Amino acid sequence: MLEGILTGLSTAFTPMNLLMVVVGCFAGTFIGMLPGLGPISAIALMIPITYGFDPASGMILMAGVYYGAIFGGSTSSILINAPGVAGTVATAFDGYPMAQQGHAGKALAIAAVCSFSGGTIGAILLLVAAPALAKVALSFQSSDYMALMVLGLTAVSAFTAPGQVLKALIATVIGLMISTVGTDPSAGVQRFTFGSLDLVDGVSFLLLAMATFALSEALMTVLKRDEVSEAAVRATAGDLGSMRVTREEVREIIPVIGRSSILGFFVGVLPGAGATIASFLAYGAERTIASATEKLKFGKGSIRGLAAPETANNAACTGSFVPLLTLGIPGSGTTAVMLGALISYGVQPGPRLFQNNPDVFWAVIISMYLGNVILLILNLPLIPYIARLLSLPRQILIPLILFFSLIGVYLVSFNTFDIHMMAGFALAAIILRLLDFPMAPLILGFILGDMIEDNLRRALTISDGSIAFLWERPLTAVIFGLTILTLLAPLVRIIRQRRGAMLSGEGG
Amino acid sequence: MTLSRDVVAALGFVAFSIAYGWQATGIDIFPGQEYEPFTPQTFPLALAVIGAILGLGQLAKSLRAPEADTAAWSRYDWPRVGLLLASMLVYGATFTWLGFLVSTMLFLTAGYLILGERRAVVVGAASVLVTVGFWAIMTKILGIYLAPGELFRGWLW
Repeated sequence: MLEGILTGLSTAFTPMNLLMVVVGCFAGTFIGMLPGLGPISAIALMIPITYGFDPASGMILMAGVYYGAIFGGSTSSILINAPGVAGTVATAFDGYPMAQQGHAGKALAIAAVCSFSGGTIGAILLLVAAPALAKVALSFQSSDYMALMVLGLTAVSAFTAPGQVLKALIATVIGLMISTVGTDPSAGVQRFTFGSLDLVDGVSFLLLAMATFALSEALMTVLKRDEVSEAAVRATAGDLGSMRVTREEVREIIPVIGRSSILGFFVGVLPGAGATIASFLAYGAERTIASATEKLKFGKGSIRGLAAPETANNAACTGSFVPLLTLGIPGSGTTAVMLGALISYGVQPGPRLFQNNPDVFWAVIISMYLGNVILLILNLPLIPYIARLLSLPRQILIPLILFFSLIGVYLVSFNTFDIHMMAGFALAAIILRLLDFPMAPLILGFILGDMIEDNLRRALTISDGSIAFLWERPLTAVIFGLTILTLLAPLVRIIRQRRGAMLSGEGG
Repeated sequence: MTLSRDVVAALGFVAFSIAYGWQATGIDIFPGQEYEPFTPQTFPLALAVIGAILGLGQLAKSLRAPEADTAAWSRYDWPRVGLLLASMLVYGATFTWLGFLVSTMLFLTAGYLILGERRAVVVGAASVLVTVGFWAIMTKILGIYLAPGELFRGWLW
């Protein structure tokens, strides 16, 4: 492991890769700050730029963008109560009231320190957890992989859209269906190409990610007539107040950071859960254990209420790299996009990544840590200036986002048919979004589609066409059992609610 | 009776799954492969069945639940989004013919104008600077080929 860390350090500390972390953090902070554009869009926009890089530099840039985007989301949550990212919604609960009381600078500083600490503790846990899990994962068979991927898809559907599980599952199936377009990898026959040469290679992952995230998110802001609010202009032009945090405050948040980073990391490792759930859980947990007087402060500018979700969401972002790096299975929309990027660099994530590409594996882990340091020492002092970008006129910004999305995809394929296909997918994504179909399960389904089909084929071929492998191999059976539990959990909640409503109806 | 949007969406997805499954039965398989446990048709057919079941489930759910959000889609700024999507299609169609420089300047100008920017200097500067800057980085620094425009082939070179 020490050898691996040294390899990672020597890769991450080359001037080029250090530049990547810095550029990634800045670009991510800027994009994450724009309301409506989240980390998935930020990463997708970066992929075309990284095609010419070696895999380690590409992943380092994207890890920087990911952290930057989460941090940028916190900034807009705190300053204008408009979270750019779902993972920072809980940050606004106490961060925005603090900004209103004139402590915007302090809130930003606490957010940065907590993000840094959460990310750092997460990176240390990742350093220990990832190689251990990679060793265990080497004994996994096709059926286990298939079961794990199905569990990942189900969990993402169950967690990303509470109350809309069916819609999320439908979005997953749409993603899986799109993944079957093109040439079948095993037999070499064409599927769903309708005789078009442009579809023989299938739909590119970058095209789908750009169209369903960057393009559709930008167009949604036009559709909903989201204007740069007065509040944004005022908040960014005004004084942010002192960024100094007192010793008492530091003493108050240290235990919060400890608790929330561990909670966040483990929630992040679980497929589907991710930063959003981690931040809400940490906020809830902190409020539950707070004293009665402290509890009253929550929602009105409590430091603990700001520290908990900020720490947890960064720790969860780090945690979500565990299944990606060790199993090759992304647990969230963001890591799904990263998986697509890794595959396009010719790197196959999974337990063997650790052995075959130790430089990529360790450099990503080390650069996450570097990313946190850079966010703290470089981004924080520059926040007042970056925040001014929030008041950039929308009518200039949106066409530029559209242009960079389209040209990014075009520069990979040099085929103008892709531009038309993107417009089509963007329209479909807008309609699906308006109907409350979440997009993250769709992209995850699309990326896992090929792998699920491949592992299912192997498992079925090994077991001679029988589906008995689902219950004959204990590990597969356990994972499938978990999948069924994940699916049943929302049903149980509905039944409980109904019973509760009936009982209260009878009582009244 | 008017159908809620959720009902229409669920019906649409069921129909889509059936059409997808029907198309899947037409995927070529090699002679003798039909006896194998897994063919290129297997996964798509399974998806079609799962899709139809989920769609019917969603249909049943939305028929029972009253539509929560009655806000009309007409409130949204569809004309602008439609124009932006149309400008993307035109951009794709003219890219090879007009070349990167001209088509991109036109696309960006159209975008700024559609979104309500009326200051000629801003529109002109923002489209020309971005296009030429991007073109210079791509072709002169990174050495990436960008379509020069088939239409001008006879005139300019």
